[in-house]
Amino acid sequence: MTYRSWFDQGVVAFREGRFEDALAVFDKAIELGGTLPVLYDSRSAVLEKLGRYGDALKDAKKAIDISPQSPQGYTRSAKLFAKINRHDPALKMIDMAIARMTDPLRIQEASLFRADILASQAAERARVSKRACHIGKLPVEILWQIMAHAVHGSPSLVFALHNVCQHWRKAVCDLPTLWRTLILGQYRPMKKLAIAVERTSKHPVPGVTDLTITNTVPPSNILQALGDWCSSPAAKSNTMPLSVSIHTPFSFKDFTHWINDIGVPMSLRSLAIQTGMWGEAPPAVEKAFGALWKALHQPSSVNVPESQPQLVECPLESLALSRVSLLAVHRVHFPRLLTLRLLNVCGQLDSEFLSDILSSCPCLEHFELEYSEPGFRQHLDVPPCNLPSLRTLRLTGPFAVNPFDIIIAPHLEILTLKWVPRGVCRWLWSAWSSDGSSPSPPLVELRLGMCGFKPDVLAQALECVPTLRLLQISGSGENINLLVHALAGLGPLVSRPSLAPGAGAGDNDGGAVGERGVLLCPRLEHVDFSWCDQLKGVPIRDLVKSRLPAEAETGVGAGTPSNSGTLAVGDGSGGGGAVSVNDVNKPEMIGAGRSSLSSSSSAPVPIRTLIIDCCPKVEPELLPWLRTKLVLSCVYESKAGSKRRRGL
Amino acid sequence: MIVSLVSSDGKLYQVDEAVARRSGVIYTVLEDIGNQKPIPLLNVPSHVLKQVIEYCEYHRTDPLPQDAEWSGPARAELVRRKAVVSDWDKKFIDCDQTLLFEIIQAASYLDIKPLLDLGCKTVANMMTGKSVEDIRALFHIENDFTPEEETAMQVERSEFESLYNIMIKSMAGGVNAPVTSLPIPGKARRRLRAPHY
Repeated sequence: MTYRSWFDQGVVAFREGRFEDALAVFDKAIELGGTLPVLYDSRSAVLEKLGRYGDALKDAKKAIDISPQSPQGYTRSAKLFAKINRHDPALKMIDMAIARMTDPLRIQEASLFRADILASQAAERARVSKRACHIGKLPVEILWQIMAHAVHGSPSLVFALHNVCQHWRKAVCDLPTLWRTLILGQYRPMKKLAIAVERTSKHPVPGVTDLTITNTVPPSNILQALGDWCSSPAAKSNTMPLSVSIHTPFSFKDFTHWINDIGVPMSLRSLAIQTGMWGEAPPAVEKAFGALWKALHQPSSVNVPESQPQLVECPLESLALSRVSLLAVHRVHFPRLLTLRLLNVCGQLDSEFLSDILSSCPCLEHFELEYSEPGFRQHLDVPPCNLPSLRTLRLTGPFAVNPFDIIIAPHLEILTLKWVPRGVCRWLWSAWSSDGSSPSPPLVELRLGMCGFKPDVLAQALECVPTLRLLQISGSGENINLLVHALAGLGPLVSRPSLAPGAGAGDNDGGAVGERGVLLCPRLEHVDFSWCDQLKGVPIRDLVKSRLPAEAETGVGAGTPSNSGTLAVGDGSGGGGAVSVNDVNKPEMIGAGRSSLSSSSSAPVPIRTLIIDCCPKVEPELLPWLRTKLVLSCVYESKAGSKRRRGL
Repeated sequence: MIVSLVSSDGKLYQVDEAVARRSGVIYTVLEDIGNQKPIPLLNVPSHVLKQVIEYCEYHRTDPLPQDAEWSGPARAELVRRKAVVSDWDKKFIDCDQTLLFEIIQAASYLDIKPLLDLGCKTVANMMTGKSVEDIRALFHIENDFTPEEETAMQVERSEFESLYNIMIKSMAGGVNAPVTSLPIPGKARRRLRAPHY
C-alpha cells in the first residue's frame, strides 16, 4: 500500500469526522516516506480539529519548509494563529499566502479571511483595553497631579487613595502636600492624625499643616489632638504656614493650657476658634490672648508704627474668634491679617475700640462682625479707618450708629448686612452717594437679611452701585414690591432721566417714555427675595421682563396677553387695582423703554437666577413662564401651603 | 504658516502655526529650529493626535503660558475660568478611559498645560466620593496589599468614609465662599426653617 492510498483513506476518515482514525492514517502515510506538502497540511488540519494547535503549527511549518512557494502552508498557519488569538503572525501568514496565490477566487477568499482577522484583532484590543489599568501606566508626576486635583476638592480622599495599592500608597506618601489638610471628625480622630503624621514623617517637607477639628470630635480629644499636632515634625519645622480651625466647643481652660503648656507653633498663620469660650472675665481673656500673641510675635522687618510702640506684632493672616471679648485683639498689630471674623462678640461695642482694631490690620480683605447686644458706644471724634484692600464686609447686629462712619472701604465688593434695624439704607446712601469725597465702591454683591429699609432710599443707594450683580433681600415686608418695581424701571421710585445725573443719552426720548426711567443696576444677574411674605408676582415679572434681551422681547410680547390675563385675575382677588392698570399699558411701555435703552451704550444683563422661596403671594401661574427664562427656586414654607398655592 | 506634524504611526497632520504653538514642545522646536520639515511626534499615535489638534484648534485664541499677558489679569481670568470646566471641554474629554489616558499622556508629552489640567481634573472627578474598592474597580487596579495590611485597613476604612460626609457638611459655608453665586436649594427640601440671622 502506498502512502497515496493511506492518504485517501485519511481524507475519507476526516470527511466522516473520525479525526483520531484520520490522524493515525496520516501518520502512516508520512511514515511511508511521503514528502508531499499536502500530507503535512492534511495532518495539520486533523490536529487542528483535535485542538492540538501546537502540533498542527509544526506540521504547517513543515509544509512550508517543503514547498515554500505554495500558499497552502501559509493559509493553514494563518488559520491556526487566528485560532489561538495571535493576530499579528496570522496577518503576516495570510499576506504571504495571498502573495503566492494565482487563482483570483482563492485570493478573494483569503482577503475575506484577512478582514476577519483584522476585525477580531480590533475586538480583542478593545476588550483588553477596557480591562487594562491605564492609570497604572501613567508617570508618577501625572498621577500626582491627578491626586492633587482629587484631594483639593475633598481632603479626606487621601486616606482612600493611600489604600488602593502599593504603588499609589508610595506615591501618596511621597507627596506630602496631599496630606496638608486634615479634618478630624468623630471617628477615632487621634488615629487619623497619627496615620497622617506617620505617613509623612520621613519626608523632609512637612505634612499636615492645616488642621480642622470639626464639631463631632469629642471635647476630650481636642487638647490631645492639638498637642500631637503641635509636636509633629510639620508643626515643629517652622517652614510652612500652619492653620488651625476649631469648630467645637473649646473651653477657656483648655485654650490657656494649649498656649502656656503645649506651646503654639511659631509658624501659625491662621487661627479659627468658631465656638466656645463663653463668659470668661475680660481680663483673663486679655491675658490668655496676650500670651498667644507673644508666642507668635516675631521681631520682623515690618515696622510697628511709631505712634504705637507698645503694640505686639502678630504675623497671623487669618483670625476668627467667637464669643470672645474684643479685648483679645486689642493692642495687637496685625500687619498681614487678611481675614478677621469676630462672631458673637461679648460686651458692648465701642466705636473707638473697633476703629483701633481695624486700624491695626491695614491689609484686611474680609471683615465679619457679629454681635447681639444692643447699644453701640460712639465716640464722635474717632477718625474713620481706611481699609483700601477690604473686599468683603459682613455685619450682623443691632448697630445704632453708621458703621460706614468708622470703615471706609473704597474697593468693597461684597456687603452683607443682617439684623440691622432701620437706617441701613440711609447709611449706604450716605456712604456711596458721590459727594466727591469718596467714589462709590465696585460692589458686586449686596445681601440684606432681616433689615428694615425704606425703598426710596435704597433705590437711591442702588443707583450709586451700577456694578451690582447679586442682590439678596430677605425677610422684608411690603416695601419689597416698590423696590422690585423700581429695579424693573417702573413705579414711583424710579428717577426720571431728567432728574438722574449723566443720563444725557436718554433726553431725546425721555419725555416720550414717561413711565420708565434709568434701569437700576443694569448688570444684575442673580436675585434672591426669599422670605419676603408680601412680595407679589407682578413686580417680579416686570423685573425679569425689563432685562430680557431685545430679540427675545417680541416673543414675550406675543406670549404676554394670556399670561397677564391670568395674572390680572389673581391680582383682582388680591385687591391690587393699581397694578393691573400698569399691566394694561405695559407692552408699549416696554417697547418705548427698550428703544431708549438701545440708544444707550449697553443693554442690561438678563436675570439668570431668581430665588423666591417662601414668598406665598407670588402667583403660581407665573412660575412656568419664569422657569423658561431663568433658573428659579420657589420653595413653599410647608407641604400644605405648597399644595394650596399650586391648586392641587 | 502651516506646520506639519507626524504621528508615531506615520500619519501626517497639517495645522496652523498658532494651533501648533499651543504645545510647549512644538513651540520650542519652532523657536529653535524653525518650521522647515515635518516634526515627528514619536509618542503620540494618530488617533490621539487628532483629538489633541481638535482641542488646540478650539482653544487657539486663549493666552499662551509663554505670552507676556500670561501674568496679571489674563492669568487671573484663566485661573478663574479653569475652576469651571467649560461645556465644550466637558464634551471633548468625555471619552473612554483608554483615550482619556492617552490624551493625558500626549498632553504631558507635548506640554499642553490646560489640556493636561483638564484631563487630570476629569480623572480626579471620577475618584471624588468613591471608596477604595470603587477606585480599584474604576481603574482596574489590582489590590496588591498583603492580607495583614488588608485587615489593618479594614479597621480604618469605615471611619474615613463616613467622615467624608461629615466634612462636606462642615465645609459648606466658608468665609471665602465663591463670589456672585446663589445656591439653589434642592427640590427635596420641602420644609424650610426661618433663616438664622
